[in-house]
Amino acid sequence: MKFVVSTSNLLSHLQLIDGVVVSKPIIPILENFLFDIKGNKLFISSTDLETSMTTSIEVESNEDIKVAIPSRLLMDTLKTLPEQPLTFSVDASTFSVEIHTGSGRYKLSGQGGDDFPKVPEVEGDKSFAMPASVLLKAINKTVFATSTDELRLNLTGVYIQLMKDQVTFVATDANRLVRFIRKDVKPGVEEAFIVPKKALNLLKSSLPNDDTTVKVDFNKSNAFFSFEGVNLICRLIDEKYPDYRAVIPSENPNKLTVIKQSFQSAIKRISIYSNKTTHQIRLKLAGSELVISAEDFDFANEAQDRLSCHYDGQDMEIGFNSRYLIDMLNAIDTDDVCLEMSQPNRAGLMLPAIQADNEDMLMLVMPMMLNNY
Amino acid sequence: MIAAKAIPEIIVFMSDIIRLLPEHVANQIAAGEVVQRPASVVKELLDNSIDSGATKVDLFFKEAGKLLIQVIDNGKGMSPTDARMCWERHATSKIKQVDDLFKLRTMGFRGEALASIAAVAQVELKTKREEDELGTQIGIEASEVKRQEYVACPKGTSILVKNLFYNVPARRNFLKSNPVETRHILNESIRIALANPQIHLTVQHSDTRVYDLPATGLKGRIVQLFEGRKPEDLITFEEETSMIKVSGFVGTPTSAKKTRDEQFFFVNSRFIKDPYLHHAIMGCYEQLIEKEQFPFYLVNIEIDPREIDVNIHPTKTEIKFQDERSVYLVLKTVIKKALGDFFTVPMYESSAISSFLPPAPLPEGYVPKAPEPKKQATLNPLFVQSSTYKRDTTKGWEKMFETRSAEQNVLSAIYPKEEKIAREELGSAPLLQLNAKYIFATTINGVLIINQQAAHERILFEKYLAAAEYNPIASQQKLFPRVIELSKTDFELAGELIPELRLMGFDVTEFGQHNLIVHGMPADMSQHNEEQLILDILADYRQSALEGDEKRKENLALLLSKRAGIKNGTKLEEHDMRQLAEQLFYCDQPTFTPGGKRTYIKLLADQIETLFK
Repeated sequence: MKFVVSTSNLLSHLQLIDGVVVSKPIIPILENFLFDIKGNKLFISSTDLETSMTTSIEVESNEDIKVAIPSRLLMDTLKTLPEQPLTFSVDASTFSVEIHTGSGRYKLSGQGGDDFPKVPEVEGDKSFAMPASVLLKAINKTVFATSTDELRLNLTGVYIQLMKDQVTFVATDANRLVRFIRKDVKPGVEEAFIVPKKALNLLKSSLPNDDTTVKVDFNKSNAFFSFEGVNLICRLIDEKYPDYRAVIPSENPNKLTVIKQSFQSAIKRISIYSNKTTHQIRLKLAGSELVISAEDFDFANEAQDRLSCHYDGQDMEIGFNSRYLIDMLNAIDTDDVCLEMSQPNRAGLMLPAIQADNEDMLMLVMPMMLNNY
Repeated sequence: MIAAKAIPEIIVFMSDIIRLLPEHVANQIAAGEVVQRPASVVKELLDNSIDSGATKVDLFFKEAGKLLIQVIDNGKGMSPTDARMCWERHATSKIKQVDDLFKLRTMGFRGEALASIAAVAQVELKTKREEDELGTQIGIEASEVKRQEYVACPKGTSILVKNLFYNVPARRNFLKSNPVETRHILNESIRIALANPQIHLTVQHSDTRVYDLPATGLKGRIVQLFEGRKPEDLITFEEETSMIKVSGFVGTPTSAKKTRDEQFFFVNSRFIKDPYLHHAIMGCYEQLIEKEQFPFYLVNIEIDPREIDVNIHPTKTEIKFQDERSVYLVLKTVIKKALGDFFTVPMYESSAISSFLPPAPLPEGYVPKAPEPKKQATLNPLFVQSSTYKRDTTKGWEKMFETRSAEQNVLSAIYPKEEKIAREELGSAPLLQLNAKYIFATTINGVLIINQQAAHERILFEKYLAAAEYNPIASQQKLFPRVIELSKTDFELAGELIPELRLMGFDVTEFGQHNLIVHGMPADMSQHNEEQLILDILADYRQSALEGDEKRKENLALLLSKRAGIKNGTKLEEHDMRQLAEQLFYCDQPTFTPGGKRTYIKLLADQIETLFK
């Protein structure tokens, strides 16, 4: 059996789905791509049992076959080959694969495709669609705030809440929270599910940043994202999401507005002097001056810096994990950023100074307190 | 004249009741203080012999000294007049005027000992000076000189004390059994033997030669005296400051024993007991030995006699230092350093290999370095300015600040230049992990094998202890406060622990009858499951026996370090391994976990070379 495909075409498709493959999986065959040729179409799949991706290419082929090809070997080969047509020939009995280039021959030992786990079929009860760029933005704004704690599975994904006329993305690791609302996506149904972080990161690297429509089908256990011939199927996290609305404070009388760029670089600079494990920095607000400071008692290092700002509220001092602040500031696109606070032991809200069209972005971070006052 | 005559009349008329005691009664009373038991006689006599400049002293006693005690020395002896005078009360060669009291270098000085002994026993003295043809012999019973004659005898002094307390039956009956009194005598002789290793001392009990201790060095004397003490169990230390000179030996933690009778302080060669200084030493062994164990130590303190007062107790086993606190700190620092130096390089010990390995030589150019004073924020002069919020703390904090600075002053007096302790310096080669358990790191001259779990336990232990004492850990507030339901006993336990838990970064409050709310977690543990962690702490805490406030903090730090640490079986990135290793060698006591397990071993390049031979 033979088929012909160009180097760059194959490589670009493989790169879309390569992220799914884990190194040293429990089942060895998961280190392979599944090449499934039906007629003149080549379907390539990868899976880690939780998440699967499939893409397809038009090829010229003389017969149908399913073969699993080692992903690392194939990718490394393709990356070094110059652009040219490649002829794949697969031995239907031994599943050995030979790649013929203009000048060379590369032989890989494949496995029978029937041993490859079956990729779930798209079978959504419900579906909605949104532009790829919008989904990409939503993922970028939220996925960094998810938790890595395996004991709290519900926080390791992004909570997607569908309403008739808007969609809300929420992520939290119990120390901070991001809520991103998009009002121009109208799912028309009221549903909510938790999508695992890995699936979203895969989408992030494969979604085109344009108006391509992404169709999302979902049922109780799986969600299917399809765009431009690429399918991503992931198992949803079957856990209850905490009531995030209850923790967003409504009364935040102390409002700080500051230039994002200078705020962020000041925090990065000051945090060099913060404690190596807690990363704590302090914001001290008085009048229209913001003093950022940090100290590391272990090494007797300390630093402070002043920024001018707009501040409306009582003088206060509040401590934060600088890493959280830096992550959150990265998610802000506007020139100015607002920080709204009430008490040194209450959550601080971070908002862009101006919300983009059809968007509502809110971030919340819990302070870090020293226990001696 | 008239007045003088009148007085006796008045006495008669008024029939006064206050009288000056006869000499022998006064002596008996004094003896009650100085001579409590045969061992006191032994001590006084041996002290005299040593003061006489003897190089060989023999002690004989029978029936635990109740029947006979004899001390023979080859010291300078006495003239016939002195031999008679020495039995008088307050007769002494050792001081002449009040000022001398403050310059005492001799053991005795009060001139009471012999008079006291003579008051309660039958005593025979033979003495001869080098230059005399004939010696003097004097016999005394109950303070009465029975005879004095010339006698032929060798140079030196021999004192025979017979039938102690023969004239004070009450006292005699109060003596303990023979084995006990024998023990006391031997203890006295051990102390004197340790204080004077340069003297050849023999001790004979009835027909048994108990000790024969030829003149030697201190280490030799220790090995002579204590069976089972090996030279390699002893760690030597020596330090001289403008104020005092301390030297001696401490035992390795592994050689600690269940009894505390191998612990000695000598101040200017005088044995003393001092619970305060004892505490300083035991503090250094904390976490190194188990609770009921006592390390060997022998500490010689040489100090200007003006700085101490020995004249506060008749038996002179207690003395008063004018600046007790400084002595304490010097001692603590020196011994910590000695132990630290000894343990900074825990050698690869395998009986199979060490049997053919030569003892590892010190690396070339190796200079033992002073321990670095504990780095504390409170010592940082910037500290006060930088964190004004600290000012709001309770008085306890301020107090601590003061004492810490005091300690710092003394420390910097000893080690004027703040040098880094002889810590392991990691090489630049990448660190490796074996079995997700051991970290291999290179140094300039060898390989360190670090047990990751043990190492992290030690790091966290010191961190949490510091947190409880002076450097609270920041508390990361949680979005979703967790309510933890507890049993009634656990709830009470939790109530006790809350202040310490808060210092360590757990923002917890009691809620209702048996619930705790966790608002915040230590910032470095914010990813841990708070409910499980707190329940574990309470369970562990319930089990561990608790005593005192100080122990509570330690216990808690210990529990947390065990719970929160990196476990064996966790894969680490190279960066994390390096950080772990660096933090470990930043610890005050990097070689052992608080539970006493090794944190790392070192394999020197020389040792490796030998393995390939």
